[in-house]
Amino acid sequence: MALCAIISATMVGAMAKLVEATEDNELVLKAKTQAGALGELYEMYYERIFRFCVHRLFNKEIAEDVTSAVFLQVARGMRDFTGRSEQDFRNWLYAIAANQANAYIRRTSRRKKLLAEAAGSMIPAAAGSADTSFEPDWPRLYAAILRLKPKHQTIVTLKFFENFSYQQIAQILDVKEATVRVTLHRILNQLRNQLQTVYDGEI
Amino acid sequence: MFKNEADFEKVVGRLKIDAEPNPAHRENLRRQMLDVFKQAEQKPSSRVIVFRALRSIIMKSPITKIATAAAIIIAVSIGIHYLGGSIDGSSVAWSQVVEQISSHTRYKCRQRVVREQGPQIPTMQVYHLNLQQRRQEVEDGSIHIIDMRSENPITVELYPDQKKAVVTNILGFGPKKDPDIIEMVKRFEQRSTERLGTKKVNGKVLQGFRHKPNQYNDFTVWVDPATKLPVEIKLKHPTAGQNIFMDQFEFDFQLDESAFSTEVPDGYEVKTVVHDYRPVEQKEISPENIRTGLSHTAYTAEKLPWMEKLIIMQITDPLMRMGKAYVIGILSNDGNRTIIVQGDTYEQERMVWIPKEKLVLETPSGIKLYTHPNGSIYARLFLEGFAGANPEFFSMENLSEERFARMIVMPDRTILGLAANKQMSDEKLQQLVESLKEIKAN
Repeated sequence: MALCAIISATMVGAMAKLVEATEDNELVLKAKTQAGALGELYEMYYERIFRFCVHRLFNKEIAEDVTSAVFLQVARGMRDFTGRSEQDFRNWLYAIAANQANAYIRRTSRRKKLLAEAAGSMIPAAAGSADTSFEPDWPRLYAAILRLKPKHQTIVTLKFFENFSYQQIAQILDVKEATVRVTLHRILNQLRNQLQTVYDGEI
Repeated sequence: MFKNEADFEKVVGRLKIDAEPNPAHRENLRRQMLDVFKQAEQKPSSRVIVFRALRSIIMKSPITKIATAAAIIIAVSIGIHYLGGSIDGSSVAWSQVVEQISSHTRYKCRQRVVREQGPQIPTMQVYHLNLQQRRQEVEDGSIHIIDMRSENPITVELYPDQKKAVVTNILGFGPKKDPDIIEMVKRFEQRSTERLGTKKVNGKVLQGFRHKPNQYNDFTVWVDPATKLPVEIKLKHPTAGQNIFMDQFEFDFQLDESAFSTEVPDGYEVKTVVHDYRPVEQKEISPENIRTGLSHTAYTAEKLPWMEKLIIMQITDPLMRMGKAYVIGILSNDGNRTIIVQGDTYEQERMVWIPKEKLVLETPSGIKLYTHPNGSIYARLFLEGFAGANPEFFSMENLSEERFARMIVMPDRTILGLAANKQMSDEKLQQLVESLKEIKAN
């Protein structure tokens, strides 16, 4: 009886998700021509994109600027957007966000400034936890991430801060899933080395 | 320190990062985004911008202008999205039509364009040899040969009754493909093509299909079920108030290839026109350079008390992204940047749409300023072009949402573009356009 209830609940849940996904897909199609639908998509994604930008750019004001650039690019390109599902839209949106964030870092020589900020500001790591003593805090970790290639930085943010799957990251970056796995493995090694250097007092 | 991915996840999970959004930013951005989205509704597609170059070249001649107009308009539909749908039934399926069309390499047809307003376009027989070579036999007796295969495409207009020819060499324009309707029709997918039923034409039953990829284009194709080839095609272009009709199709026509030669026959008086689209050296120039570079009246601006700096440059045409444009850049004492653009193509090309736009200012000397539905976009493109040529004078980081564009129609009907980064009072605008003076030879 209990099993039946669980199966039934699971099916209802799955059905609800299916309906939700279908509605979201329709929303994406409508958003190509209707401002109201685009507004709804904006509400769905604003916070996620803003958070992604904070994690990529370390500074809330800059993150606001880049978030603005992302959604304005979406507004300009929405009518020509060829995707047909919410997943297509999400991949497109994050790809734009990743590119905008990378472009921002590249074009404004912000990198050094970001590194300086990372070294001295933001909120420190949680104190009092026994196993945090050898862990990097956010500024240090961010400084290490910033030393990675821009595309690798994006992978770290998508994987660990936004909790995307390998498959989703692969779709956003338009690469194979296996490539993401291998790259991430290398990135972690690199980060580990970077952080050891950081602890040696480089920053 | 972390050992593996799971460890690293834990490390990240324990970090405290302030990523709380600011509600004011969220709300402002929403408004701004939806404004941009609404503006983008009227934005010309990138493909149209590409073909604007072709238009501007061929529009030089009233005849080729007529001949090309239809093709330019349909270029809008190249970037279409294909929507779902299906075709049932036992007669011709759309995929069979596509297959049949694809088995032919060349076609001729009669092309008629009916416009709701403005100058009408004469009917012509169009011979498509391939996507880069075309012959048009216009009802007034003139013949156009268009060969876009080389780096320097050529168009030839022949007027057999007058034994005159105009040869246009388009330097550096690069090989281009014809925005051909049949080529577009071939790309309709079966699932997005609606069946219309049948109709009888000259005793023959035709089967209809419709494909409406977007609000700008509505295709109707009538097919002969026996040959599975188009007999009639109608492309309705609602926003332009125009219908294009193609009929009298003949696939794989027989015509000697010399009919597509750009060699002018003996005995013709030849006028050669050169349009130079090779890369432009972007530099500061003198008013005299503008005068010698334009085929129509050239203007310069006089420095007014509120102008801190005035600079004249030749730059790559910001709209076509190739070819040359002349710009006068003005730095005002309020920090605003205004540019006035002159190009070889402005006069004829803009005349088509200017009467439709809103007159916003007329000066005592008869200079008129008009809006444009894509004014904000054009302003950005103009300013971007200028910033690319002279980043010290204007940086795109300072691009303002207040930017606007106007088309200036001088009393002699010469047309200039104006773009400003910030709003200007009517008084200043009037002073500025009244300060425009014809550049005469020394």
